[in-house]
Amino acid sequence: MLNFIIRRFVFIAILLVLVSIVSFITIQLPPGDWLSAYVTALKVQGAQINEEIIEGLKIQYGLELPPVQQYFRWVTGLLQGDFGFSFSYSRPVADLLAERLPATIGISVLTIIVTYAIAIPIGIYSATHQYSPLDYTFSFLGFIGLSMPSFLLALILMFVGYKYFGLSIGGLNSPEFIGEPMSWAKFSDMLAHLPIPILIISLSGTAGLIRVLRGTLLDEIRKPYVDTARAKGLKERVLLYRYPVRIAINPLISTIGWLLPSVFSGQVIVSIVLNLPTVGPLLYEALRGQDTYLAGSIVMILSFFTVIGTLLSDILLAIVDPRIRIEE
Amino acid sequence: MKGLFRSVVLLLVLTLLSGVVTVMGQDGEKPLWGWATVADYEADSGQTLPAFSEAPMLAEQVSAGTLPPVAERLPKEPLVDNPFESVGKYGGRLTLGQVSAGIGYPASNFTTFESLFSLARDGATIVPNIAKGWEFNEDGTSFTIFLREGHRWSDGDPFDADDIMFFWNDIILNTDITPNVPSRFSPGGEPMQVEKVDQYTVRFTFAVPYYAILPNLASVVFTGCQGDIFEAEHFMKQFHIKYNDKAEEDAKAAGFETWVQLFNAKRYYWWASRPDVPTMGPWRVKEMVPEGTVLERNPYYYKVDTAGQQLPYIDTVVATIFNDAGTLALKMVAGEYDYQDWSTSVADYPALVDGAEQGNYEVFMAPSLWTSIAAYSVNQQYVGDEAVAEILRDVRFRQALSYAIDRNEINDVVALGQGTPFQATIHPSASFYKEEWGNAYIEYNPDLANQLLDEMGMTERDGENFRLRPDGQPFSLIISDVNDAIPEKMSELIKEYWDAVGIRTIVTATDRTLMGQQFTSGEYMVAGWAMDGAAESAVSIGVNGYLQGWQWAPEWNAWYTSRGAEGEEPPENVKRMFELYRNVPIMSVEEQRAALTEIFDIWEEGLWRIGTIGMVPKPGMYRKGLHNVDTNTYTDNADVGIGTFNRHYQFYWDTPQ
Amino acid sequence: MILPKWLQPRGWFGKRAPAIPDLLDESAIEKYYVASQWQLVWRKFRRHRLATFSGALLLVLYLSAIFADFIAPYDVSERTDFRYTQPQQLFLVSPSYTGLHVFGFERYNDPKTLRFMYRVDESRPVPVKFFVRGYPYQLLGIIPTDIHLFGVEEGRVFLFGTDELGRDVFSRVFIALRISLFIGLIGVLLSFVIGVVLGGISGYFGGWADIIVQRLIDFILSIPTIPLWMALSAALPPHWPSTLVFFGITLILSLIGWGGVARIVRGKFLELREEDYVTAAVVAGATSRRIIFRHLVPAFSSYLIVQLTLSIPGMILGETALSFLSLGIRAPAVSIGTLLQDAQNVRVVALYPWLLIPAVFLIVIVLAFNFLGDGLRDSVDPYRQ
Repeated sequence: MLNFIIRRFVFIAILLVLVSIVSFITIQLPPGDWLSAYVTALKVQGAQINEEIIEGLKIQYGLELPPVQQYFRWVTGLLQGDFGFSFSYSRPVADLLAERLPATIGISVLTIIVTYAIAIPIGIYSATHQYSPLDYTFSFLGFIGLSMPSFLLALILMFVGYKYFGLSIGGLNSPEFIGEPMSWAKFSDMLAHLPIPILIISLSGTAGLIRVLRGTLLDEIRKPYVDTARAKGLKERVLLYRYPVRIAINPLISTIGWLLPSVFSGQVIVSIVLNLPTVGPLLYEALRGQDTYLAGSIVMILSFFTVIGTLLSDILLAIVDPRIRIEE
Repeated sequence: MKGLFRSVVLLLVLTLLSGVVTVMGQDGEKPLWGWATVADYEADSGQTLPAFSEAPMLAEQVSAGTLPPVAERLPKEPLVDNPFESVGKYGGRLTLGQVSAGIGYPASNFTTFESLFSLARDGATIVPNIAKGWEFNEDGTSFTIFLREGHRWSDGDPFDADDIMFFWNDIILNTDITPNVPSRFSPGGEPMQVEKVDQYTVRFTFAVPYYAILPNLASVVFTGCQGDIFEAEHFMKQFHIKYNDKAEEDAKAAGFETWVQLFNAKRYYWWASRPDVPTMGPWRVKEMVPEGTVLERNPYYYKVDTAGQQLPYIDTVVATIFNDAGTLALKMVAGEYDYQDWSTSVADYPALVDGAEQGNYEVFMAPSLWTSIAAYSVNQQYVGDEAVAEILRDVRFRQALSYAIDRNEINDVVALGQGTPFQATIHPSASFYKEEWGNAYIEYNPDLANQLLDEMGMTERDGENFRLRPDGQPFSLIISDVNDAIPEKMSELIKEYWDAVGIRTIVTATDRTLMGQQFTSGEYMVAGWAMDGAAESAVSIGVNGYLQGWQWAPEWNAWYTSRGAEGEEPPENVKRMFELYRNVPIMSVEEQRAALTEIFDIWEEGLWRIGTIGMVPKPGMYRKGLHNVDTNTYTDNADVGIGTFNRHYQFYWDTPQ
Repeated sequence: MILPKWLQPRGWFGKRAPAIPDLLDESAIEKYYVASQWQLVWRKFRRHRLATFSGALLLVLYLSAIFADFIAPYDVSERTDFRYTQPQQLFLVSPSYTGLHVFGFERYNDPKTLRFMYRVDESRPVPVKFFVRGYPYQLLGIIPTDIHLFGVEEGRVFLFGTDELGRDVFSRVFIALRISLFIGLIGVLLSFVIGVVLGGISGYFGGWADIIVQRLIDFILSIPTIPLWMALSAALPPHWPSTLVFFGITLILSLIGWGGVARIVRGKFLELREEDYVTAAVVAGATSRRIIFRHLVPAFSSYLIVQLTLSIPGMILGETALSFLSLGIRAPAVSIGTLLQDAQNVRVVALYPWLLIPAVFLIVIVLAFNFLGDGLRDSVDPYRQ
């Protein structure tokens, strides 16, 4: 087991190096750089910029270095916990991330919890009541979430929520609580804002999980040991939850880690539309504005969480299902 | 001195800038602005200003002993502001929305922006603001600024000549921060001289007459503000290497690489407010979080109303950040903002009106100074292919493209019929405007367009019936459509029109980043951008890029900005236009008009930018119960500066909460 | 464990009739035992009404996508002055006319809201006819014709209303289906080719090959998709015609999407590798290639088809997300994604909801693929009763 974990850690280190290289390349890939965006912005305001000013700015931001050197500068910084400097915000990347990571992680964790809280009961119900009207209803609702693009669902839900239920639109807080220290009033205000975003981000993953759970559970309850147990007079409920459900949930646990990237990516678009203070919109803006270190650092952090998530679910799976260890 | 000052104001009112006054026609009784000082007010109105009073939230602090009384906080001669409709009452919160958290035009900054001089509501008259007055010498080679005695920053520290001197000596003349003195501070190619006459007087001296320094410091294109001509000396010194030996280490400790980065991060730009940094505006930044910016009143703000009440009326301002313009419009429809005139689209007007009752707000349409909501610059130095570049340089080609556009349909689709078919040129309110400029080549005449293209030799067609180049090769015209800079659907329509006259047109969505680089390298064919900067006020101060080749002639632009050292020498007419324009800022008013007339004559003939529809109004909304909202003011950026925007510090609530 | 009542299992976990034939009918038994695997699958599949219905529906949709030009009464980029027209109502009988018809209408502008309004003229019926002449096109890309399924000779028929530019939404939806449905199909095929090859190598050979492929998959899955999308889309040259852009985008989607497939294939290979018949093949001296393609792939091809069906909706949705970020199909080509991007604003949701009709199609398509996939899964497993 320990050997297994150590091996995985070595792989993670290699993986992160790869991610850092590729993310740096993808950010550098589109033509243009932050400086040209900035110069355009200044020129649009009528400022006269000549080559010397541009050169001066380049040196100031270290942009005169060749990309390879820029990369090493950034990576050595990362190793020392220095994420670099955001050009467009004129602030250290670490500060910007610190502001937004709590909300990002909080929303992701809540999303995953809600996804499972919806998917597991419905999956069990659908498997045990296969082809019943409620099975179809739940599957249908789950699939609506899956089939509607999240950005459109967000907009429609916001509009309907406002128009017919008087809910406030977007954001995590009402204006009067922005910038206020956390208090009971602010917390309850936040709770009132959370349902729509969490629902939208989790809906897209729910349908998939329902299907996986329903499928594996159906396989499991048709196995002979279930019949044997039933023949021996075990109560239906005990029989179901003690064996087949436990086994059927295993794949769900193992996919927790795989859920992370889709939760993060799904969050970017939903956060843009719903105005959530997560790193998503920051990443999108940074990518569009070629704010290299900001974009690169966000990609690194998201990838890092994903990789750690995958590792955790592998370990979890090994603990829950002893057969896995034998395979390894 | 006061007499001189008055006559200068009067002169400028009458002559300097445009007759945007037409807009003022219907509500001429509304005040243009206030009075530079209490004495001016009393002399002018014959009334005595009541004793100064202050907001209850400040009065509490005064009685608690944490704040000096209002009379001590105000400068000796505060500015008396004339409220737009009525004298207001204190209290409440104002919620605004803004798109984008990074560089942009955050609504919060319109509320905190404060410049040395300002523009009155007509968008043309220059009036005193932070400075109580100014003076030119006889020949315009020296300019004196008079500041207010006892004026203070939002942290209570005195604001005086030292703040301008610090900006000049330690920021502009420091080559680490500013490698080159901006050309607008170097009339005639020489950096101006800045001298402190006394604690409240600063004098600029120029190598040549430079009357444009005044509009340059009067919030036209967002200038004359903190970070542009003055900086909080007492606060910024701690980050400057000249005053703090440890500045470099401090910067490293704070996560920056050089002291310049930290220094710049602490500067208060109008487009990026900073918490903790002292300001001169009506509100100061209290908190900046990812969700938005919270502002609270500046207890040292220097303006009072005609009842002697210190402004602003409203206690706090909250600007929430939105990354998606669609959601911002939805929030407007839902009435979640108290006031919003920014990042709006005329296409949303019906939806706004539809939601007004449930959302409890009023909707208005603000006039516009842009002569084209989208103009298409045809690159005169396309580097991709010489034969293509040849076509783009042919004026008949540009005329054909212009005739091929159905501007009435564009107006119907994009502006609900509220705009005017117009060429990309100066705004009709300009004192020297000629009708033929706005109407040049704007009729919808595909036959004429086809005829012109045939004349060019593009008569052969390919399998899809698109025209071939005169040399028989296939031809496609690529429009680089800058994201967010022009309305959606605009370029889609343009493509259809140009396709219809046989020019295969491809629209690519290009990011501002990439476009900026292409504008320099010349790798684009046609670029779509709004015709902003079209008001006389903006044109007259000599900073408008498009009259210098920016966006439509990269090489000529380089030649112009480098004074012939780089780039390619333009043909005679363009050279004449550039040279005239270079001198516009240092001309007398009469010379300026003659020069600009000639410039726009050349501009009309050249047709380097093809206009579509102009003067497209922009919708705005405000919550019922909010007062002193001017619904007839310009909300365009860059053209007339923040001075003409609604004065948020005059807003007040019927029933403040 | 106390459970809510609805979660408590009923006896036998629900009831379902077995898919075996009537034991009294000998010829049926005979048929059952001599039937090929695919006949058995088909037999079982037909019992899933929803899946059968979904399959039929998808068939109809794919056919109408192929014949979109025939079904669409108007050219996808034909503009009119009738902006934001509501969907017209079809009448069979009305006081002024008998036979399929709509009513003529005229436009006026509401002076207060500036909204385009339409006055329906009930005295002016516009007959809707079948097989009328309209814009010319090439049926199946080869037969030039101008006959359309339906249309009007005078006036206009907008069954799904019109958009901002006065274009017929009905026509646009069907033309858009063509791109969206085939982007899903082709994209999934591409990622399956990559996924099966790499997953197969990884699962069959194991060892270092397995480790490398596994880490490659981890790597692809661990990078957030947005930067990859943005970088790859920026790499598509602007002057590419829309067909090339279509393939480019399909390629992007499948390059990012193959990881999941490869993972599933690997798992299946690992499982099957241990089967006796594989060992038998190895002992008999078969080459690896032969074992993979002769024995292993056929063994789970049915399983692959199911996974393929279930992955198509993801691709279709991926295209809409790309369009939201303005990275997708370029005008004048239309896809469901570009149609929905046009609908992504408050005015549509509040005033012109018919522009959301493409979303209804999208939901139906995704649902149909999922039901079809579920039905197929239940049917292809020969051991499952």
